[in-house]
Amino acid sequence: MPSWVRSSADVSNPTTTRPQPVPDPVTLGFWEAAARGGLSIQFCADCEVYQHPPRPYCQACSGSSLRYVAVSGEGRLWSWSRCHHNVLPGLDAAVPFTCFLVELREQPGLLIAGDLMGREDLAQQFRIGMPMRLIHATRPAGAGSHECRLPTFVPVPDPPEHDPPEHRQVEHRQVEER
Amino acid sequence: VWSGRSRVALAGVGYSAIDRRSARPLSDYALEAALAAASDCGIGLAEIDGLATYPSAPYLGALNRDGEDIVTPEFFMSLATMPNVRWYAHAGAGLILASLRDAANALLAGACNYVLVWRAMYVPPGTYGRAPEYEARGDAQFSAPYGIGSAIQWHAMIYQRYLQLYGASRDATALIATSFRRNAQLNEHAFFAGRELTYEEYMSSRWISEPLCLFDCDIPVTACVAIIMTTAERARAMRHAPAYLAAIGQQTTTRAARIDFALHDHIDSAASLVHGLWSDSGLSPGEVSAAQLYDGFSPSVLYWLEAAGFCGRGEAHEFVRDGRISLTGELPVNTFGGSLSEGRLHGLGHVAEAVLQISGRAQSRQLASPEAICVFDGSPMMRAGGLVLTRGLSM
Repeated sequence: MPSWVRSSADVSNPTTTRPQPVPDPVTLGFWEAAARGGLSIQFCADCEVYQHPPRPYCQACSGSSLRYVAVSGEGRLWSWSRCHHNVLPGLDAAVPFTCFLVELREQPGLLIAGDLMGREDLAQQFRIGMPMRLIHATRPAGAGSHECRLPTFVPVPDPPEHDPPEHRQVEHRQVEER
Repeated sequence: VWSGRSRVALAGVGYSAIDRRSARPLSDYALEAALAAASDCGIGLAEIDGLATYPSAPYLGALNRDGEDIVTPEFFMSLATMPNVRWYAHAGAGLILASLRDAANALLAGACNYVLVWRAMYVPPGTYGRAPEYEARGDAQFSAPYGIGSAIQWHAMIYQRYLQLYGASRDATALIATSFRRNAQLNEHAFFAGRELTYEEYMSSRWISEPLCLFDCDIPVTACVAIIMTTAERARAMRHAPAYLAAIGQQTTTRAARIDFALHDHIDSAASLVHGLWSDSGLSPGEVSAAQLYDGFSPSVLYWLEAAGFCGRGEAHEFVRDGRISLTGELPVNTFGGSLSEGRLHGLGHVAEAVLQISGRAQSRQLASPEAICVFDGSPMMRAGGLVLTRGLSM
């Protein structure tokens, strides 16, 4: 496994032309935290619920006491897909690539998307529920675009051979209760 | 309980040709379908006084030019042959069931007598749904930079999770795709009529977004299907047996608006729609003769079987075995081939088939005296609607 996966250092995004996020007043806090190498998620101070993607209001209490709170960057793989068909500009050369969703440890059902940024070999160890951790990929500045750091996730190094049995039980219980 | 039970009927069905790409303008297809639907129930275009559609093109990069890649109510209102329109609705809810619901309520309110409901679909040149923008705004900020630009990728991630959580295999969607393709061989309109699909062909087809392959995706077509709706009283005087609308509803759960399509929500998200439909119609899943389930991507059939109550959570992959969903099975599903094999008519093909089956006009695929058929449109994780049609008046 290459060093960047184990370290918290940035990785260079191999594709410089993929769609670039355009922050707006509601999402700015997310991208500012990403630019600092962190991950912040919108949090309602009144009802203490995280939500993602951001909204101008709290979906739990309809209030507006929202702020961005730094989260651990740890989570578990919720699901993934190896994509062989691309509809987005700048990604044709990247197929097949693997996109995924991570459930952040801060709250059940708090999902965030990512992709492997060219490290397709990592997809071979993917299993639902496996631990994942935050990294950042840097999209260099190009013609008409500024540098951008994209938060994404990689499997936690040296994961155990199998999911801890208690984790599997939690998964099933959540499914049944909801 | 909805007061409209059995007071509105679906009386006419009309299809245009179903083509892949075409040089003919889409308005031509819409007119062909409208004329066919009107003549099917024995009225002229001039008698149509209501119009309802969901006109939007469902892919990125559409021009949205009337008559070219969409057909709006304004197109029909501009025709000298349709001078008596006094009510129209242009649904923005993302699914055609909303138009059928609007039409039903307009008929009940006396706003009009004969409503034309249509869905016109267009396949643009080049790659379907190609995103033109390098800039990701709104919710796309959190998906497009990671390569997620198409609904199929969300559906693929959900199916991946479904397979693992419930110990299922792709055999489930192979059974769905091959079963619908067999049904399409008995549907003269179907895009894939004359082309069978074997289990081996399914399993060896190319990946689109794993675990979804080519034959898990519906086939985009240039085509239009149209329905004439009227009051039950008027329908009884028309040429075919009416298909009475026992219930119609839309999904209103807030969780359905989430972009992540969380799988653990597929039953909860559909609950508002499903409970409303069964209670408004006075029927239960065990009392319908067939189900027409939206199949833009084949796993949606599994989620609908569970969400609608035909089987328990996580059981649909077993339910579809042993021919249970075939034409002669316990619960025939997508008796016309579905969007997977008839073509991507965005749910209105499912409704048209329910009408033809109820009124006994489904030719060689006709079920034996179906008393009630349900239709579910959209995805239970996203926007959805549904209806129940009955052969007799349900009390």
